[in-house]
Amino acid sequence: MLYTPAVARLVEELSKLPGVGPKTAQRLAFHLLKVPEEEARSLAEAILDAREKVAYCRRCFNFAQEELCEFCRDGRRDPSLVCVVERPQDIVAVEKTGEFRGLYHVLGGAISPIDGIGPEELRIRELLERVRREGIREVIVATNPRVEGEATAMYLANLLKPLGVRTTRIASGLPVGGDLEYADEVTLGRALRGRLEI
Amino acid sequence: MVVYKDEAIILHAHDLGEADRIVSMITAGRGLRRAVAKGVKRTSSRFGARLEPFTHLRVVLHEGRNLDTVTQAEIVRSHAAVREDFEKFLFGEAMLELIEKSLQENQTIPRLFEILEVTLGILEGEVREPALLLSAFLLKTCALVGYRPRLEDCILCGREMGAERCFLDPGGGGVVCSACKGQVPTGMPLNPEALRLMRSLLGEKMAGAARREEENRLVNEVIRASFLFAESVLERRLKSRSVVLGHLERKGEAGPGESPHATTNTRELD
Repeated sequence: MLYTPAVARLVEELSKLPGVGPKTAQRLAFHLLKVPEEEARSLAEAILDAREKVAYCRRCFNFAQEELCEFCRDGRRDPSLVCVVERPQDIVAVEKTGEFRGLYHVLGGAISPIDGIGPEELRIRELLERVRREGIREVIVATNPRVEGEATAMYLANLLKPLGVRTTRIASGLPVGGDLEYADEVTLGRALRGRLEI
Repeated sequence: MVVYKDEAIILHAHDLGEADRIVSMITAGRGLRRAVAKGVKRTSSRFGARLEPFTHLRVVLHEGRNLDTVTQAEIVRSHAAVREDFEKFLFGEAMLELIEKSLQENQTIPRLFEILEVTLGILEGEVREPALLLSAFLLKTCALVGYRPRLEDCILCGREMGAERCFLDPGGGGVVCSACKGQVPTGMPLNPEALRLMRSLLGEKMAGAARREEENRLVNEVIRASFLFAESVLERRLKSRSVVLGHLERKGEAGPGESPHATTNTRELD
C-alpha cells in the first residue's frame, strides 16, 4: 500500500474533482496534511456548508441561499429584461461588465445531440412560463458562441418570437486587442455582418 | 515527436481544464484522431471558431503518445449553413456521432471521411427531409464499416421480400420474412413501403436522398429502423437518437409547415 488508508481515501476523493489528476490529488492531500488543523477543518466545513445551504433559485435557477437568488430579490433590477445563460458561472461574467441590470435565466447547458442533450433536458419550459407570467419585454440569449450555443439560441428564438417577446442575441466578433490577420473566417464573417455605423 | 499535416472534420469537443479542449476529428489519412487544442476557450485564441464541430480543416498536428496537439488550423469549409440552421444542426450532429463511434482511435476506413464531407455539403443546401438524408447516411456508413444491411431477401430462408410486412433483425444483419419471424427473438416490424424506401436510400447517391419527401409516418419508421440497425452494428447507443426522434415527434405534432424549429439564419433574432 502506497499510503495509509486515510490518506489514500483523501487522494481518491480529491482526484474526483474536475481537472485534478492523481499527481495533483497527491500534492493537495499532502498539503492539507501539513496545514494547521483549523485550516483543514475550515475547508471541510465550507464544502459542507455550501452543499447544505446552496440550492437553485426557483425563479432563474442560479445558485441561491434562499428561495430566490440575490438578483431575483433585488428590487432595483429591471424584471422585464431577462438574460439567458447556459451556466451560473456565466452570470458572473455578465455581471462583471456592469452593463446589464435585468434578471437572468440559467438553462443548465446547451442543446447537444451528440451528448444526448435535447431541449427537454434544459430549463426551456420554465423560461417560457416566465415569459408568459412575468410580462418580460426582452430576452437576451447569451449562450456560448459555440455550435451548440448558437443552435440553442435559434431554438429559443423560434419558441419566443410567437409569444411576442423581443428576442436578441449577444453580438459576436473580434476580441478587443485582437488582430484581423489572425481572426478566423467564421468570427471575421460575423464581425462584418454585425458591423455598426460609427 | 512527429509533426504531420492532414485534412480533418471536427466531430466533437470536450473541455479540458480551464481553457483547453480535446477535439476528436476524422482525418482523411489517419482516421479518427483526438487532439488537445490549447487555450481554445480564450477569446484571444488563434484558433477561434476553427475547431468547432462540422468544420473541414487543413491541420498541422503534433503526434503525442495518447493525444495529439493541434498546432495550426486553416478552414477548408466551415459548413456554416449546417451550424446556422437548427434542424440541420440536429441531424448533422447525429452524423458526427455515428462517425465518431464507428471508428477506433487511429483506425482508417476508406471513404468514411469522404461520405461525411459529401453529406455535410448536401445538408448545407436544400434538403426536403433531413431525416431521410440521415437514414441514408446511417445505412451507408454501416455498409462502409462492413455491415451492409441485407434488405432484399429474408436472411434466414432467402425468400425475396415482396409486398408483405417483414421484420428487421439488426443482430442478424437484415430482414426476416413473417414465416421465419418465430426464429428470431426480437425484430422491429417493417412495412413494405418502409423496406422499399430503405433499399432505395441504401442504393442511391446521397443527393437522391436529399430530394426525397415522404409522409411523416414512413419517415419515422425508416429513421427508427436505421438507428436500430446502426446501434446494433456499433454495439453502442447513439445519444443523438432520442434527441432526433424527440424532434421528429414534436414536428409531427406541430403539423406540416408549422415546425417548432423553423430555420433562422440571421444574427438579429427579433
